[in-house]
Amino acid sequence: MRIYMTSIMLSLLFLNVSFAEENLPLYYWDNQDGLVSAQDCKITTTSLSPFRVSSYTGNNKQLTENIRNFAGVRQSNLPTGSLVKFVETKNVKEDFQKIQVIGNNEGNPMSPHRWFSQRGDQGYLYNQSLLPAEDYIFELGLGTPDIKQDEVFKDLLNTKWALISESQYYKLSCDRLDQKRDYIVFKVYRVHDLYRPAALVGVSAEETEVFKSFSSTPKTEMADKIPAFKREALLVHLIGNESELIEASDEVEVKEKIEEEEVHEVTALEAAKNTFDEKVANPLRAIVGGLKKVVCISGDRLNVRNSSLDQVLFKTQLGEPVKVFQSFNGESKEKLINGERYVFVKVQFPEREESDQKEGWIAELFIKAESDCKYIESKVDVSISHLDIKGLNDSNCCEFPTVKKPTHAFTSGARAFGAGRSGGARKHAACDLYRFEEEPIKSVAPGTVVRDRYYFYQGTYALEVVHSGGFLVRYGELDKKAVSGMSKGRKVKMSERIGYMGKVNSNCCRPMLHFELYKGTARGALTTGGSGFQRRSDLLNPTQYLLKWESEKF
Amino acid sequence: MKNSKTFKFIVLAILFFGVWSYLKKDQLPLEASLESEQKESPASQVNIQKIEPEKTVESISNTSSSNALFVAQNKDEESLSLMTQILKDSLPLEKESQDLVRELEKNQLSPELARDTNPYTGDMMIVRTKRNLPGTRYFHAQYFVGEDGKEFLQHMSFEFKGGAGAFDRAISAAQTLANLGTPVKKTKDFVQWNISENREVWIKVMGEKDLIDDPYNAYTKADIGTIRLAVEKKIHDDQHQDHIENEQ
Repeated sequence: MRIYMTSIMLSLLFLNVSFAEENLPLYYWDNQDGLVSAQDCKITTTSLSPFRVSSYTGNNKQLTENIRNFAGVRQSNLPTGSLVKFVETKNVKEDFQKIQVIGNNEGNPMSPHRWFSQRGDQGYLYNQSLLPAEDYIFELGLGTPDIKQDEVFKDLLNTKWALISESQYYKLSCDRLDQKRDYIVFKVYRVHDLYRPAALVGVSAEETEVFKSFSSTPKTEMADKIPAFKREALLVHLIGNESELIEASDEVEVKEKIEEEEVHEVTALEAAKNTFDEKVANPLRAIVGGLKKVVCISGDRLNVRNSSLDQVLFKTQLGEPVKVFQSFNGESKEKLINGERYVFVKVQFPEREESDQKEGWIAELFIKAESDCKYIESKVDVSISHLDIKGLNDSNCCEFPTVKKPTHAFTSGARAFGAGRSGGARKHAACDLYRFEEEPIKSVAPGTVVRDRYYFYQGTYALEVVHSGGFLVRYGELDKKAVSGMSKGRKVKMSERIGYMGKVNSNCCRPMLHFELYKGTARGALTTGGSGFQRRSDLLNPTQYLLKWESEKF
Repeated sequence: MKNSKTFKFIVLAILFFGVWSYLKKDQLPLEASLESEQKESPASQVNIQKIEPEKTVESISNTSSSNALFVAQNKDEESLSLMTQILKDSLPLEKESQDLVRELEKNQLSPELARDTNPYTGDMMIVRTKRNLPGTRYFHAQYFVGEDGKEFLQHMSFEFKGGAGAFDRAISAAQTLANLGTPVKKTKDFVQWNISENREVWIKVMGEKDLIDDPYNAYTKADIGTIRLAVEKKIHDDQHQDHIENEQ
């Protein structure tokens, strides 16, 4: 009898809430455009979701789980409650899944430390440490990206997201979305209205920036505080139209809607062409800044086309970094747009998370060095705004740049500062800190990147940072693998990951950090000609400082 | 008797010094010999036909058997010759980025020049090309500007199309055209020459790992096997035994 009454009460509550939740707005998440209306899309079912939440497996209750490489070596600590996605791999590891970190659980009580995983990290996680994402609520944090403009949400800060699962998952299906992707549907709740969702949003595993800052809570815990999470409202009630729910179908015809977009592109083409004509071509003029290229247009968006230039694959925007492919046969293509002939080149979008939006063709006219694009605010000036420490002798300075003690003493042999090179004709201008390949390298102090990665030596790179107090460090022999966003002008914190341990092509030496220290009183490039150290006059012997920082850290 | 022995010793010493000096003449650092050569041969003479055969043969006489005198066999290898020659002609210490730009312009490679500058670590001049010759690509050079305002080359490289025998052909081209002798290091995918106390030349068959996150060049997996030729300012010293070989 008691059970019967409870069922009736719950049904009444359910119907009441369902009625209020009808006709919810429908969106999908795009890393570039934010929330994009998907009212014309249908919702279909799918049996798979790529999203999982990390947990810990073991005897003791732990707040982190280890991400391991294929050999089983620990790579980093993933806070429990973090969101991950599955990654395809040929190297299947028994009892483990290859995953990529979408975002760390910022609500994990453990203080972040140098071994913490970061968004984008890949590795293997124990099967039993992967929990269904639908059992958690994700509250978006301060680092959540902008949603551009929208009527339903002012911003997404503190909104709560719950993956919908009713013995199956749901995904968006409509012509304009890439049919190879599954946009898994989440319910999204506003900050102050946790009794009914404000919208439904489809999120693809290829575009997950919306989850780069969040804290997760198990639904069971949330349910104690908010009754709405005690039950799962059926999706059919949420969208208010049963006919929109169709069975999953993988064969949906893709319609290209490029005619309308063409108009905008032509406008942008004309504007940029006029700009180009105004400039006098002078090949010896040095562009002040680097030669890393970006999309440079006067408008907001530019079409990225397929190799035959007759389809728009996706859009790019002002300032987006690109790398231009140079094929060995010097391939380029032309297309007549509005009576003007434009040369198109194949480009790569290195910062895109979406694997199907990494490459495409755009007009060469719209590719410029960032500092040469008049539509982008200059980043040439570099300033140090936060003087958190006063210099090398400040008691708060500094932290040793490797994650563990170097495997060999940097005070002796060829690793030491001043060691002879080329039969004594040169002197070693750094301390070589030996560790293992691809291990993170940390900033020794707060500072600003003044020169981002450049070719340094035998396939390794260097990064130059001015630290608080004015001293300078050249972090040399870094690995090819880059830390996202570690570019010129970037402010770094003490112990922030700035690169990875590299190894030179000749395999002469172990992976290392080539650590050069400068007082910061001289001007000019750090490397010079001449003899001896072949470095700038304010080069310092870093040994005593490194020894101090090492003893404090390990 | 004693004076006679002393006399013989002095004569022998002079003779030995003479022979040593004669042999040493051919072992001058490449940069030094290039500086003297530069006055006789203008940088514009980048044609393979202008290489003196006798001198080239002599310089490679001690090298591996795969490195016979290089003669371009096709368009790609003609490009390789030209780019290697441009690289070699840029080595003399007085050459700066503007000289290189002019050389690249002459060959219609549409050079781009940038000055990466900041108040703390000064200027780095970067030269790249918007166009490439068939079979080669991604030319890149970096010049630092020292405290005295003088530029010097820190890195210069380009890529050659990979494929069967391409690595050996690149080595052969470098040895022939840049007068390189015996490499100090050679493995199945890497070769290195020390051209002076300060600089080295290396050629590498690029693996998958070498191609990721390059700050300038775009790659796909199809580019595995591409060959990069580079000249760089030295950091390490491969003869130095104290640097422990990588055990991983």
